[in-house]
Amino acid sequence: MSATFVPRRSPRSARQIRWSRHLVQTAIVAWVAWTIWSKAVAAPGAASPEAFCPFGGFETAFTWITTGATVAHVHTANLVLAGIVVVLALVGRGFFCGWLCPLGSIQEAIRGMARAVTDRAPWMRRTGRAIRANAPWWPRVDHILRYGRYVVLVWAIGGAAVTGVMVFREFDPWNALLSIAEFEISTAFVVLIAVLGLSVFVDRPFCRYACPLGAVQGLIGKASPLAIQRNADACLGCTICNNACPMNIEVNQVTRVTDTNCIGCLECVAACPSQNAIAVTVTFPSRLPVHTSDFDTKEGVLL
Amino acid sequence: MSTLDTSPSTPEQPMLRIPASAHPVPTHTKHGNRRIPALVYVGVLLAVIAALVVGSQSLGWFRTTGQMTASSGERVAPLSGASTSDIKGWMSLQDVLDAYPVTKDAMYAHFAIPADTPTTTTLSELNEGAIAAVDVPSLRSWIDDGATP
Repeated sequence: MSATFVPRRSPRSARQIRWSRHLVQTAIVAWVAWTIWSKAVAAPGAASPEAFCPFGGFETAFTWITTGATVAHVHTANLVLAGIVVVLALVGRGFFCGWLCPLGSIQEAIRGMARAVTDRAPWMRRTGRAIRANAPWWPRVDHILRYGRYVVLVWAIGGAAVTGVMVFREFDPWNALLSIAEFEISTAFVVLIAVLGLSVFVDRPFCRYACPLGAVQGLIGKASPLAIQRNADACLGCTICNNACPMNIEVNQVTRVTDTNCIGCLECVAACPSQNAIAVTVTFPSRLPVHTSDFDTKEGVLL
Repeated sequence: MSTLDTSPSTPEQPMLRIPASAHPVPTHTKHGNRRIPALVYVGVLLAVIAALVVGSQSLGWFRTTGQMTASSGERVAPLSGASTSDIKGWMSLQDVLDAYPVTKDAMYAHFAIPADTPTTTTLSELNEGAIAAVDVPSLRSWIDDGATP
């Protein structure tokens, strides 16, 4: 049997993807920091950092539709941003989470720094492996905990609709981060510290288990024609893509990554050593069944 | 055999050998698909966001503060006095005194505001500067309760 060879992905393309993402994330975090600073120095008329939270738009949607007013701390910019998030999810699934969300970027940065330390300490790597080996129940628990996002979503939007107050705000780590200049020890601040602390050990803990905005996007994103797609003919059967995914999606087990947890970060694409194994694709209806090795086909090929 | 065996490679196109032991999960879909370069995917989505933000700003929908309109920078209408829920932290003591049946002496006495504090001071400045504990919710409820000193 002759050996099968597939083209190798150029390291340059992987670097392009990663650097583009980190550049966008850094720019957004810097902009948010500037917004917090400008509000903290009490510039007259300065925009409240909370005005740039898309989830505020979802929280006030019911009140806005029924009364024409927004709940406290929410402005029309929040409604506009909520609309933009809906459009983004319909077009690009979890793109907002993976590329734009500042809280996700901060969690990712902390996890990256923690990894940089543990990768250089053999005893830490061994300890990590031992913990994973002795916790076979963790994947099941992780799976169940991920439904927490939907619980928070229902509570936050339902609570705001019923009471006219943003009930989630008191626990929202993002709100605590925006109010960091006030040095107030609140419940939200404690949640923020817990999230940042957990980020040392778990990839994006808030995104996985509690983010209501991620839940909204995951659900709406199901309708998106864009998705990461795997081509079995070029797949090496390794698990590099799985290991690269910050949301622990088993990319090598599926044809199209339509998981509601996908944040569109393209880490799996950048990590894959095979050039044609994983790519972003747009689907369109086809009369004939198509084999996914035929990226870029209109007519399709009978299986 | 190593996965990174690159026997038939050329400098332009390095190749990977699929290991004989590899059994990737087969892929099947009933949809046509077209590959999109990663940077195009990113560029298009960022352009969509920029277009929507700029479009909403030009329509005056993108208001980020209750104090000024983002589109024109005009100050919003003054307090009508109809509801205390209209009171915001950026408003001054004078704004509140003008809109509600409250006297300056009663307000200063109730919230222990120093007598030399000008009425142009905003509620946020009073609270954040620890000049007096005049937070917006307590001011609202005090006015709702009849504004007694």
